[in-house]
Amino acid sequence: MTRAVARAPSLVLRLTLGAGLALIISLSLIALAVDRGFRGAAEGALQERLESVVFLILSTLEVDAEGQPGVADSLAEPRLDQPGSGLSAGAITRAGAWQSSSLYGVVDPPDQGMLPRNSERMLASSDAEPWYRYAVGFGWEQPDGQIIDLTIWAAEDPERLRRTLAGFRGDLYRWMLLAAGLVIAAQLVILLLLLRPLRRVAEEVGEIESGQRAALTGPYPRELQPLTANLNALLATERNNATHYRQALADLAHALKTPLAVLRARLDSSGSDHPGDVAFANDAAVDETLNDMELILRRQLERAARSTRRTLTTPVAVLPMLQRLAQSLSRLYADDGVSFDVEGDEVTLRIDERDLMELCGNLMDNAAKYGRGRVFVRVASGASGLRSPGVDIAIEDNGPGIDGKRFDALLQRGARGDEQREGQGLGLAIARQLIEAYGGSIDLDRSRLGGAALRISFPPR
Amino acid sequence: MRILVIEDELELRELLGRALKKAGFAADLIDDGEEGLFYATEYPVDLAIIDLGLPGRSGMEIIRSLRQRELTYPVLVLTARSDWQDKVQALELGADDYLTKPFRLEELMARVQALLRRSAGHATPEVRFGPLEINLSSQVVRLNDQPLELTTFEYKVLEYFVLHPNQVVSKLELNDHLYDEDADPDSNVIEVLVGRLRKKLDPDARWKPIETLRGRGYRFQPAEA
Repeated sequence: MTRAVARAPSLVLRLTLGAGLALIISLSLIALAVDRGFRGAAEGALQERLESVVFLILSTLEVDAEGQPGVADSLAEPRLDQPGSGLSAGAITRAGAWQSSSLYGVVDPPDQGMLPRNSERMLASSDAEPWYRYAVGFGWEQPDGQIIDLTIWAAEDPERLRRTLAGFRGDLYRWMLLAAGLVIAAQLVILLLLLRPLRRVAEEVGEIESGQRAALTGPYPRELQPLTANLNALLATERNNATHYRQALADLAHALKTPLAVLRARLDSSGSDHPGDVAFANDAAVDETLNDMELILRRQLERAARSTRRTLTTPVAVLPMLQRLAQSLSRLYADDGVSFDVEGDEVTLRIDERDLMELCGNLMDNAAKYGRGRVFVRVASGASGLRSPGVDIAIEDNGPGIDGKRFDALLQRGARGDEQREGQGLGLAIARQLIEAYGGSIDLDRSRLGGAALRISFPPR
Repeated sequence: MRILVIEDELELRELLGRALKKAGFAADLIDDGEEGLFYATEYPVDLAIIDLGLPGRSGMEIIRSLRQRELTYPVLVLTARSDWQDKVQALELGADDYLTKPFRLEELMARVQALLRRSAGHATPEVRFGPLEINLSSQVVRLNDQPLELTTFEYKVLEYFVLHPNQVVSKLELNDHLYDEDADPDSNVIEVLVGRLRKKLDPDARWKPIETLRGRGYRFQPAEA
């Protein structure tokens, strides 16, 4: 049986994604601010340049008597004389207009109108009018004392500003990307350094699980020490509790079963050497009650024993354990001449050793009891898994076999197949519960020896 | 046959002792581990019944010590624990069988008989020596296919011989294995018993299964029948 586990994203992924997102947002904001700042500065510089051109024109401008503006042949700003230079200037009066020779051949020159006196206007580039323009309205005093309106303007092709901005942005993005890369790399290194103690915890817990160590030993950073100390305390408590409970259970079993043994012995020996023991005069009802008490006691002790199971189980080598059981059982069944054959793969199973011994012991004992002198046990690797493969154990005998329906009934706790032979029902039921507690299954099959074959499968991990 | 019972529960110990004696065994009853180990190692024991949960020294420790001292007589373990790990541990330490409390006296007796028989090398309870046939389980003795009536002590002597064939058995040894510690039989009781047994087993004095070795004791030699 496999269980789909929803995988939580790793800490590295979480932190990298989170910090990466924050980095992108903050770097974008910084880039936006820098870009805006630079654009503002570039436009400010442009305006200053255009202003100085306007005042250059003003200083060299002449207006004739008809009010026609004009400028001497050469200007201090050579770009104004170069056609297509992108910088242009002009002067407008009501009588006429002058514009710099840089506009010769320009298809779409700046379209500047008159401005009221003492006013200035900066116009940014737009779709309708691509030029950046700066214009100032003056009052021009003619030699006759008349003051006429004069507008002087300067304009620059936006291409120049666009090129500057593009160059700046290219640099900005390159540096920003480099900075982001460096920050992310530094973050990963820091993360790995930070997570190293956590990885160590995981490794050590793995070693505890496999029985190679008893506690987390570190050294661990101060922040992790409460966690590791608590984990160690938990492990120690669990270990102590398991031992303690087991001992308490053994004592309890002893304390409860010995009086029962006394009652049983008194009942068995009554009549003959206890003629006065009327109460124990071989009473079938007392006998039955004793049987019930014994069964209840065994069940309850068994149930309690299961609650002492360790959470962290170590891998148990299955084959040697089955061989030990076979050896012990051979000794017990020496008179009956039962032969035990154990073979198979060198596999390990994560299980409480007592539990594995209990379930295999019960089933092998049943096979010896109900078979006709041969018990065959085989262990093999089962389905493959991420950490360790499953384990299959088959216990077969050459007895009469078990009927399927009866087998199902026997698996239910306490039901017995053969009232003459005590314990089989309980043994099978205990085995089933232990197998199921570890997610395994037990099935009945026909053995090639002729009898029953119990096939136990533990899932992979 | 002398059986050592180490059990701390008074009533159970007494009941076991009574049942064993009734079945014709000599029984020594001990209530604590330390003393139990002393008895188990220093007295001529044929079989020990040992409770695992003992004060003083645990049953497991006693078994380990016995086997370390190369004492090989059978040990039957009485235990309140029914889990296999304990059973396997006890068997690996050298116990021969176990019985989980509570148990039936008949079952205990059957196990004791089986262990004694097995330790003497007999697979089945029926043992045959020439004209003599003994069922060690039902304690029925037949000679030339006719039932043979024996007293309890005569049977005990015969059983001891049957389980130790072709071995020199001293009077002291017989005495030790037939009587428990509290009994103090007359020194010639054994001679009288062996004499009576000889007459019953071999009325014509032709078979002579029990040989007397002067100053050393007896030897049961059924093969020469």
